[in-house]
Amino acid sequence: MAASSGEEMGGDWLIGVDVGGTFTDGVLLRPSCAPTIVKTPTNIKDPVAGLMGCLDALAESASISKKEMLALTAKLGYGTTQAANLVVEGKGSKVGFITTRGFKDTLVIAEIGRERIGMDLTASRAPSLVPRSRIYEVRERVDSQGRELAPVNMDDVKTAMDALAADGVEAVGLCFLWSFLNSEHEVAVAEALKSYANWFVSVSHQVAPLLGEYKRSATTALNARLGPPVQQHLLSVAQSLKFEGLEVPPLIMTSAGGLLTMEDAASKPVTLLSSGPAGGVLASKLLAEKMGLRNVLCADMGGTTFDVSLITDGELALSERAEYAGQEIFTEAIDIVSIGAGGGSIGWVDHGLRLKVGPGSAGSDPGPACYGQGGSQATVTDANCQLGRLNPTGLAGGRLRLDTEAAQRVLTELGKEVGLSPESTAEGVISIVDAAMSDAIRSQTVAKGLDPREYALFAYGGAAPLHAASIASDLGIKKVVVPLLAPVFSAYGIVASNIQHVLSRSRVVPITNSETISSVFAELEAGGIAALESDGVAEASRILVRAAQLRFKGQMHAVNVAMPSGPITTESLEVLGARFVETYERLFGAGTSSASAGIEMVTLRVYAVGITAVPQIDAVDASEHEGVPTSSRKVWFGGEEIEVPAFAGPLEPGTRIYGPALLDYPGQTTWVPVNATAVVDQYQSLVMTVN
Amino acid sequence: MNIDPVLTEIISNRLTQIGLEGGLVLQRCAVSPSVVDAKDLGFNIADAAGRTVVYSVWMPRHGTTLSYMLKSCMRRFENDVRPGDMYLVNDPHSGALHILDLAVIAPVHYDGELIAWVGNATHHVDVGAMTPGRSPLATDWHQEGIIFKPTRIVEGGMIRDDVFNLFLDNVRMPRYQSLDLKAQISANFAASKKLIELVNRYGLDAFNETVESSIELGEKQARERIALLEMGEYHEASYLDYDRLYRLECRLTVDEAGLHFDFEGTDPEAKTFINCAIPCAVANLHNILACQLFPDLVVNYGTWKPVEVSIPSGTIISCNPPAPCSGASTITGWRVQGITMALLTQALQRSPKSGYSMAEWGWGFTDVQWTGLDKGGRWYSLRGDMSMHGGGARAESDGIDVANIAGSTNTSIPSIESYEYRYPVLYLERGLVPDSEGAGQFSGGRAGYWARCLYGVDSAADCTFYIGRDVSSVGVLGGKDGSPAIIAIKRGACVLERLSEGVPLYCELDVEEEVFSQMPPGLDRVVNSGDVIYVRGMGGAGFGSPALRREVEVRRDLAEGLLSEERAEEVYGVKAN
Repeated sequence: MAASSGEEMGGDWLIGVDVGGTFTDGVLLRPSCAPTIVKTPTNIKDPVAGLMGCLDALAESASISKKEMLALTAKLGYGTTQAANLVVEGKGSKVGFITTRGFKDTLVIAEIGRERIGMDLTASRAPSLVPRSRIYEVRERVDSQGRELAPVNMDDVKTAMDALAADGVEAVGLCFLWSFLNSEHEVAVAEALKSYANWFVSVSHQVAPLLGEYKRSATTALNARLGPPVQQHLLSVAQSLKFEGLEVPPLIMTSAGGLLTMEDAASKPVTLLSSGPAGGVLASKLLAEKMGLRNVLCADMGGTTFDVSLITDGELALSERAEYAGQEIFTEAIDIVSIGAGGGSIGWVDHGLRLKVGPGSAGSDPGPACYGQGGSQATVTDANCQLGRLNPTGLAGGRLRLDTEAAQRVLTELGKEVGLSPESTAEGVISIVDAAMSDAIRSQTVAKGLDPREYALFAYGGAAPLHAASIASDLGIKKVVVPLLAPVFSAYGIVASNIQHVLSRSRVVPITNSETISSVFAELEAGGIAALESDGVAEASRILVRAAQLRFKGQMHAVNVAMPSGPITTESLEVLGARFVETYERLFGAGTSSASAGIEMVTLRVYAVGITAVPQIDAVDASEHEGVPTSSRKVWFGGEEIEVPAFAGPLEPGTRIYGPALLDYPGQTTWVPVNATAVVDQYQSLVMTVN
Repeated sequence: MNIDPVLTEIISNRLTQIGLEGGLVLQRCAVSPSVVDAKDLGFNIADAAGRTVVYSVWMPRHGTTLSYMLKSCMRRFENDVRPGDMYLVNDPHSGALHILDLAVIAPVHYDGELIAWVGNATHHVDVGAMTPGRSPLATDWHQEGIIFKPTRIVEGGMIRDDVFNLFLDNVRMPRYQSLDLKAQISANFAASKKLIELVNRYGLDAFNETVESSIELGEKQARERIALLEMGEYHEASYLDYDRLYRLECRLTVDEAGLHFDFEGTDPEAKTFINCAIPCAVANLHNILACQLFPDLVVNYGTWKPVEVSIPSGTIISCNPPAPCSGASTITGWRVQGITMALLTQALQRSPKSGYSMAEWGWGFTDVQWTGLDKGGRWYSLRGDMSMHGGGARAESDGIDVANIAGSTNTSIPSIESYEYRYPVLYLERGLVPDSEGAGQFSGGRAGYWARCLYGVDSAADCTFYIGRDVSSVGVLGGKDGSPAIIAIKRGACVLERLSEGVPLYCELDVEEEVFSQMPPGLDRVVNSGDVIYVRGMGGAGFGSPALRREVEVRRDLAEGLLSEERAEEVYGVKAN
């Protein structure tokens, strides 16, 4: 892999850094050099120092000083869990909120939202994102057509601002009814707020111009809460990097799978909530394009969760809502579904009848029993250990030695409860967790009318390569890909992405209304161009992509349909309508559509993409030859113990391996089952064919 | 039978997944807010013998009514259940919660052999009764809409147009309802297909073994939980108000056999629509058991084995034709939830699970029904915002502010913007009501309220009714009752003419307020442009004496504007600074 010729200043090196909960992953890509990858501990207390530590490690691996490395860098992409952590920990700035008079409890009632509380009658709703005492009302009103009914009462605004100042808030959220149709009132109040005090001001028609005042308010309030700390962090990252010698503006990954400048992201921190995981999906997309694969299931299995995302016909699966802090918010994000299945998931027995796995997890402390850190419950990792599938010396990069006896002990105890041997218990645990992961994939495919057999499975994250073959065969998937950079795949995906602004607007109109549709798209596109302009993206490097959400009149759920570029006419909208009906019937069954109800457009969206320097994935010569094992291990498989050859990676391109086999790479092991074949391809990925 | 602990776990998870996916198809294809927003739906999977193994993944009470309706289908089509069939049911005496909840139930065949059943139910906005939706003025059940005892609506895998159209011809909003009903059929198709794939993959024996062990597990878990309760007999009476006051009475016996609820002493059936049939009563009782006693357990056919319910025939919760009963689900049904919760709370009091005991949740029903023809000449039916009740205080925490009914665990309210977009209406306010909580060491949740007027049309027929104006939610162990519900109107407020000065609040409208009676006075009431209606739910009841409430919590409520200074001092004995 090499960087494209950089016309930017600074040179042509590319750096990606992904700050995770435990580890910070870094990747450095230089022309005609093998990629340099590092994993350094995450520094929660001082994230900037943590980032610098990772860059130091990269520079050291490249035998160069950090200053020189940064000076040669054409692009630095950064992903962080900071925003997500603030949400999980309930932290953030002190926020005040202003809304339409009569509706101060919108955030408090949160649409009742009992489904977010659950079935247990002792559970409670998550607290309002802004305490009721700091929510202020202003007289103003717009109707559902966007017409002004009552002007903004500036006396109310003044009263609210005085009170907010007395409260000592750091940030203010602002959401009026129907502001996404007519933003004049919000604009006026936002101006007043900005000239009154140095507050971080989060305005609903800018943060989430979409229909539904609760979700729009929640998004705006959460954005305000995250604003000051995220802004401070991002700007200090930018400053430190500049000080250390980076000559280009660093970019940060958004949940939607594109990069933004630190300044842009700092005004909309709510777009950073799944900054990290998005990277792995994007990396999968790029590799898949090189390999000529249109349909990919991205599977990331770590210690506690299994994350799935889809690429269908070359397109990422996107969602526009997510749940954070017990609130439902609007956020354009790569749709990643997470279930509690990981190496640390705990096995247990229900009433002597059923072996079960999870949702409890041993986490990293004490971790699985075989880590020898005092874990006393049988986990998925212990089951893998018991079956002989783990690299006995290479766990966590050689830092941990496997305590196989501890694994045996906990599995024996668990097995007694259902009358199974430790080996059968271990196989049971693995097949249950594999089936749960398959079910998670089914809920993303079969449940949406997609056939998993038409997909290739990309496995990355520490534990996925051990389980991928079994999941694939359960779902009838033929091809499994374990990328060379699997352990730092998100960091790679981050630096490999382009700048992307997502502009959206709710406007519920019949699709026959070409005039309105055309003018909203024109407005969104003009906004996109202006944003790319200010990023300094040259005209030739700008791409605008349209999308629309359609539904039958009266429905609540809408379906995403790609929207052609070019002039919007009655004819082009008719074609769009036909495409919607086709998509709808594919998703929900033939005969389920109801064209007589009429089709309406709900949300219009423009992706404004700025092409940046991205790594080139170069094919290397890969003449096929059979691999030579470096050792062998006894592995329990299908009820018996077999001798399995083990290969120490990285392997040369072209190496072919027949299952059963184990491939040990630093930080991960791949299981190649009986009847499967694996080949290291020209991009150095391990491509497994499962029967 | 030799049960495989691994394979049955895998298949059982898969079955739950299939149930979820069925419900999701229904939700995604339907159009009515009751399905999509309020998630008033259920999806069941049962074995060939009709024993439910996947119990309503959505609103729990549909799980029980679907089981009843499945049994009715099995009886009616005893020797004539054919592959590719689906049956439509909404008859309350065949198991429907009430006539507006339509179920579609389908046998699943494998190699020509009946192996399982799937089915789903959801609320429809109309069934062609004397008034749209529920019929608060009905005097017999034939006035309440078209009745389907199990009727074949899909034959050989194809929708029977004659039956499908019979339904559409009899309802007021056929455009929306045709999508809703098709969504129900699609959901069954999707789930049946997946069940067959599952059996193909693992074999019929493994499937049957899974059903068997799941039911065994359901029963074991339920019995174990029930054994934690204090054995004995508990008694409770509760009331509901409509055209008059009605009384429900129940005795709960907890012994080795399990739970036995006996409703002897409950009032005879009413002449109004507040009645319900037995399946609705049992479903609501099961609903509370599922959420209060078994929230963390598997729920299926086995769960209900140790639960026995006796209801004498012909009471307000076991009515017979031709008694009207379209109000059932949300009136007597919810009242059964309340009495069940009160009895469980007594039995939980001295058990290791005393944390599950709680005061009564707001339980009434406020149903604003404004209907008319829009400018295009089509029917619209503008309903209320659910029932914005406060939750009951729990043994260890305050009740939830604006929580809706205890057993309606999936509900949410549509946004004001989606209402104003869909219907000719303008909201003046929607919020929570300070001081409406039942006071207590743990306070009840506050009620919600809203005020709105017609917007864009001149008038609408108004068949608004409600329950819970004269009876409150009841406190526990010294906790106080919550505030009752109310619906009132200010007519001739000319609110639309006054908008440019700023939208007024309801309390600022200086015209006379008319408090609605619970039962509408007749079919000819209308609401006009410029009239503003005000609807408030019930406050949840308190748990423990208010004197025991910690001062810091009283001060927090004061600061949040949830409590007035007068009430803080009077009820909690805390003086504002």
